Amino acid sequence: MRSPKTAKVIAVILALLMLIPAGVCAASGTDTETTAEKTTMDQVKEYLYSEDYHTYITEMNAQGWTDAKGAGVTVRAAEGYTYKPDPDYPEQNVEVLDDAEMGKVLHMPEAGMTSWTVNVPETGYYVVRIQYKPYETKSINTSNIKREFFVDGKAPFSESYYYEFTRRFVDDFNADAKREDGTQGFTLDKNGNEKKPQKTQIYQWSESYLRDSQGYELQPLKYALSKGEHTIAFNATMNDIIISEIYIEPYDAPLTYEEYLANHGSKDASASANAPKIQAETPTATSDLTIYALNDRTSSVTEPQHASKQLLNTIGDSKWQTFGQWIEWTIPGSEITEDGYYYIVPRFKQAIREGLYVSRVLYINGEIPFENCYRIQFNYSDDWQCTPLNDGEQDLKFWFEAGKDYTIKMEVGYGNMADTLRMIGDCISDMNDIYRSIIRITGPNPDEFVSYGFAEVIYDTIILMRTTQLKITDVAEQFKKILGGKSASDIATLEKIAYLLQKMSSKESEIAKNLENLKVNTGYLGTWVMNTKLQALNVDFITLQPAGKDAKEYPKGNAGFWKSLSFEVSAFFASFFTDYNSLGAIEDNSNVEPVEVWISTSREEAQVMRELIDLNCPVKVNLKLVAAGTLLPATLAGDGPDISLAMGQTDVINYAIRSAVEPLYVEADGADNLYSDYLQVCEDRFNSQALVGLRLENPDSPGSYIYYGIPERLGFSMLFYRKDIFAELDLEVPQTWDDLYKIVPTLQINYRKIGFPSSLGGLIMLMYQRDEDIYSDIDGDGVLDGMQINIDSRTSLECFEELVTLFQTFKFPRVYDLATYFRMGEMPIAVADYLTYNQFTIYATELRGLWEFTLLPGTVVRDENGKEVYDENGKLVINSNAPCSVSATVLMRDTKGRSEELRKNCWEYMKWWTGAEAQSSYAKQYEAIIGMAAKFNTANTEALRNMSWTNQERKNLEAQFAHLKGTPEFPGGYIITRYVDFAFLNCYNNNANATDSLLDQIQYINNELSRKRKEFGLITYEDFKDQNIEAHPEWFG
Amino acid sequence: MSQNTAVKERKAKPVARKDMSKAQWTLKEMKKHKAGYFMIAPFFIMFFVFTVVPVFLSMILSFTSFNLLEWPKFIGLDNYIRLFLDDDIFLTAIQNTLIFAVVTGPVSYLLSLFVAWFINELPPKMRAFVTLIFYAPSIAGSMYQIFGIFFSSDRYGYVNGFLIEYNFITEPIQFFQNAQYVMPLCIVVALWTSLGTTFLSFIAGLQIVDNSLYEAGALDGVKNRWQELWYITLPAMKEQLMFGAVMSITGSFGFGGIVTALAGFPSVDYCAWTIMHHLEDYGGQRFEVGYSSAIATILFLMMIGSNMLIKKLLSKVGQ
Repeated sequence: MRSPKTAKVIAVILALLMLIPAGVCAASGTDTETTAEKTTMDQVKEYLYSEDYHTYITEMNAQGWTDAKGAGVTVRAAEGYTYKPDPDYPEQNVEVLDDAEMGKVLHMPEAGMTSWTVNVPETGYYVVRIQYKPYETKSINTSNIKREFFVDGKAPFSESYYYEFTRRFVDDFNADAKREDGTQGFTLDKNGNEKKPQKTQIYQWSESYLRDSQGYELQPLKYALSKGEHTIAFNATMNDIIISEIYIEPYDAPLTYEEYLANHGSKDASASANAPKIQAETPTATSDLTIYALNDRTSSVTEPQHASKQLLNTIGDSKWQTFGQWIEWTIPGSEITEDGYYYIVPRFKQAIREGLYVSRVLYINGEIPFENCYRIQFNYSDDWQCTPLNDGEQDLKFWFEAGKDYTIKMEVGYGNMADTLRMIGDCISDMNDIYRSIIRITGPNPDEFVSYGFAEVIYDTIILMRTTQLKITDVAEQFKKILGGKSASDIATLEKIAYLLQKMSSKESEIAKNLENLKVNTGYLGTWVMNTKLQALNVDFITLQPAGKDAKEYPKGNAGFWKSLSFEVSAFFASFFTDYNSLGAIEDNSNVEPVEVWISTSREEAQVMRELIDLNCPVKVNLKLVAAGTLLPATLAGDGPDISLAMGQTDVINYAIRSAVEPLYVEADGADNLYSDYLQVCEDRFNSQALVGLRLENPDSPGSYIYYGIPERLGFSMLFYRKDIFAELDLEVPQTWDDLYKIVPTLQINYRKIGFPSSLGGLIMLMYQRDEDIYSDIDGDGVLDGMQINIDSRTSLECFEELVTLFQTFKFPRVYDLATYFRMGEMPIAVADYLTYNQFTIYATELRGLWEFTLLPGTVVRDENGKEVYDENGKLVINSNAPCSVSATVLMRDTKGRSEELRKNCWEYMKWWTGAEAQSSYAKQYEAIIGMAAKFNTANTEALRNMSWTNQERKNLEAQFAHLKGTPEFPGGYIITRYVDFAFLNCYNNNANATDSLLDQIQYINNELSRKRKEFGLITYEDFKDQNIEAHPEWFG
Repeated sequence: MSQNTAVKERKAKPVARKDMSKAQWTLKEMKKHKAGYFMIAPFFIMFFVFTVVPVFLSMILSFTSFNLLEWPKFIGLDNYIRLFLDDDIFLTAIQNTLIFAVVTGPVSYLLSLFVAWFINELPPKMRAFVTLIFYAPSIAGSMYQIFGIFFSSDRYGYVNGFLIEYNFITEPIQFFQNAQYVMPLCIVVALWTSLGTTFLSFIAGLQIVDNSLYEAGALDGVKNRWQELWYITLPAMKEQLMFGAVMSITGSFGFGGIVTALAGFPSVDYCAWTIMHHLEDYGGQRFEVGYSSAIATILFLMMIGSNMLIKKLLSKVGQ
């Protein structure tokens, strides 16, 4: 399966390229062009067939490699580097900066590859450590920094493509806000609830090893390097970084616990020594913006606690659960009164992984004190617990010296489970391979009575089943050991799968019979791994307890019965007097009338919104969370809000033509526009197509528009495809429809399906790619009039015919469950909304790196003679337009008579909310709600760019962004979907003729459009024709 | 009658019915039975404000053009004229509604009756259990969704999966997107979910029939169970029959939600488009509340009409 030849060729090309100085390379545009073209599928293959670290290290060990001895090499990043720019981002470049601490350092941009030549003194394993700090950019960038690391032009193992470096955030505590005991507190809102402080990123030097970003390997990853010269390179995938030094050194493993104890002697701190306590909700720093202080009401002894007020008393929980996220606390030296051993005793709650434990890696003063600290365990319990840090076998003591400050950092890791998780992950991908290679023979619905002759055709797969079965049995054994005999259901699943594979591999007739079963179990196992990898832990406080102290004198995890009871009772009565709807507004005594804003999403999203408003909204806002559907009756009753959020474009226009939504900008000579900067704001922030769905033609001034609402979210489709399957079938990603038609047979022979929108969605896409509009423009002034539908034009009918062919002839499925099909590889290519990204990233983690979204296949642009058109660079011009739709923030009808000031404030609010800063912050917070790496489809171009996309993703997204076309809204537009769907279904179900079916429906659509226009007093087609037929007979051909 | 006596009479408190106008009499009676009126007041006020007033309001609105967001405009009979003369889809809707009403109404009514009759023969404990089994589908509101899974349009729907597996078809049938299948499937689902309140009221009705009547009937020469049913059981439970009939009618005329859930809105080619859908379409999607009020009024009249018809029919029971 592997193709070492291509890999070698690429390696040589890349190695050669690295030797060419950056300037030369950038100057010769054609050179980069060719490599860029080559890299599409070949690079994917190289990545796909690279082995994982575990296989790599096992192989290398078998070849007799050992850790190198001696000192290693230190590379000054700012010296002797070579930079190769990314052809898609030619403007990016490295720069050498002067740093006050580190001297000359190198800023590596978010794209391009930087390499160095190093002279390795000794053959053996080396680990790589870098000294880095995040680069302060203009835009707010808060996601991890990502890099690929190459040695001699290639990544020796797949983990090398995914290195991540965290950032550092600190809370801006209010120095005046002190709690009763004098510790750091929080600012209070008007109800006496504590308010989360804002977080700032600090740009500080830190060190990090290159380690497995999935967390399966506890220790840094080792590279086998022979003595002599090597090139090392960092290829940027996400965000800028500044590097001062790169250390290539033999791995200096942490001490064992015994060694640690031996080093520090045997003096336990005496029972009378001070026991410092730090409140976990006031950490020194965190790795993520989203790790913040939380309110816990589950226990009366959580410190501090109040029956009615919301006090921020804990930290962590589901915000602190994915690998690599860390929190750091400082223990002031003044509180440590005696040298000696202490136990670190946190009060924590782990009520999520039932029967299992969650793990953390412990750093003291930035270092792992001894080996067991990789595997700190927190066991499951419904209640709060207060036990010393332990590795599952023993409580661990740590040496602290009096008067010295200590930082304690806890980082999410998988501890003892890391290896098991890795193996299960392997098994899942094996099972996916097995499934796919079987359906290649049988299709997804095999006939169990047919003899497929698997033994001859896919002998390899049968062997794979066997080895996977053994692996799974192995994992189950290992897992039993970890659990110590508890919670058998997880093990039972593994054993069931092992049995299934054994059955399938030993008897050929069982293969077809159990295929469905295999698929279901693979999915189940995937979900299980995903859940197990979430290691949520909630912490209340952390204390150091002298090792000489009796464990009975430690703080208690839980309150006694009476204390709990009195807390619950007082909390119950307090609930009658607490206002839960105000969404935590801050106290404001000024007389300014607040802007009333309605939001109808989830409570979490509303809360995030509230927080953002409190942080930096320039105007006073009264935010209300309402049930969806309240807006219409409220507006009807004259009791509606000033502003409503996220209204779909159809509704915006529906409300607008009934004057329930106020125009924001009227485009006419001498129009009195209060918000005169509207067009400028929109031009700066949004794709020009975003406004298309939010405007109506101005009846008083033909050819110009009235604008309603300001774009908030922008949705469009992109092409999703499975890289691994395309590589397996040796296909290229289609750029045009012709390309797609070429690969359809190959896909279908292999029982793969293609996901494509049917009915109007598909039709519009095809029409927009030929620059055909869906409404008529009878007078030809370039402004669509909406009097008639345009899907009966010659081009449109051709498009419809093409669409129907896809479904009639090529048998594309009309209804499908994309998530499942895509995950199992049955549908390796699909056109879907780009937010499907979330679904695949969060719920199909096992597919990491195996899929991508890219520009839609397009239509080749042809000139009048039917010749293809080429641009000035000699590239074929392709129209890959995707229809886009917006939802908007709108200003509702003024029923109470708004003051001039309020009207201005409304606009200020709308500008603030759709601005890059608020949208970026919201996007970041959104991850905390939906899940890591979740994206939301903001309409703000800059905010979209700032989200944590990888370079490749952003590149593709921007390419599609340049190919968008908005759909205008007109009275009666709702009818189009309906009748086009009828026409389509008629073709699909009854094999009817496409053109006839569609033409049959045109009459109905046009009638409805005219009827609606009449209702709103707009000129209808019939009247327009009567008026103009004599002057312009050509308009009515 | 001289003027004098008239004055006298006005002063004296009238007592007899003949001395009072109708309003006076009513008021007097109301005062007399004020406890009863007091007790019914909470329900009546609610019923009046939220049911009676809206019905009349909607009748008034049916003569206007009203888009929910702006003040209604009076347009006379335009809505009705358009409804009957210029709206093909409304005619389809009436046709479908009548098909639903005629097929599901009586069938489900009779089905309820007979199932109730059979169950009534069971021993009490068993009866309670079986009643629960039959009633359960209508408690669990969206149980009909199971049909959506059975007849799902992708190849993993049970029916499609089965047919493809045994090579009857190669491509999945779009059960709920193909005009051929939508209507029959919806009728089946409607029947399946219709054993609801009607059925329960019949069970209750069957239990209040006095046993002595059966004995008397036996003496008077009832020959078989059918005669017993027709001459004794049914006439004894006329109230329940009436109640059941009203429920069935409203049920079958107001049928729409299930079709939307299964076949989408609108169903392909309007093939299962009922008056309810038409009403929703204009009221919800097109913001033409005046027009949809006209539709509602028609539906209301149709229901009242069939109600009267049913009453007539039921009066023939036992004769």
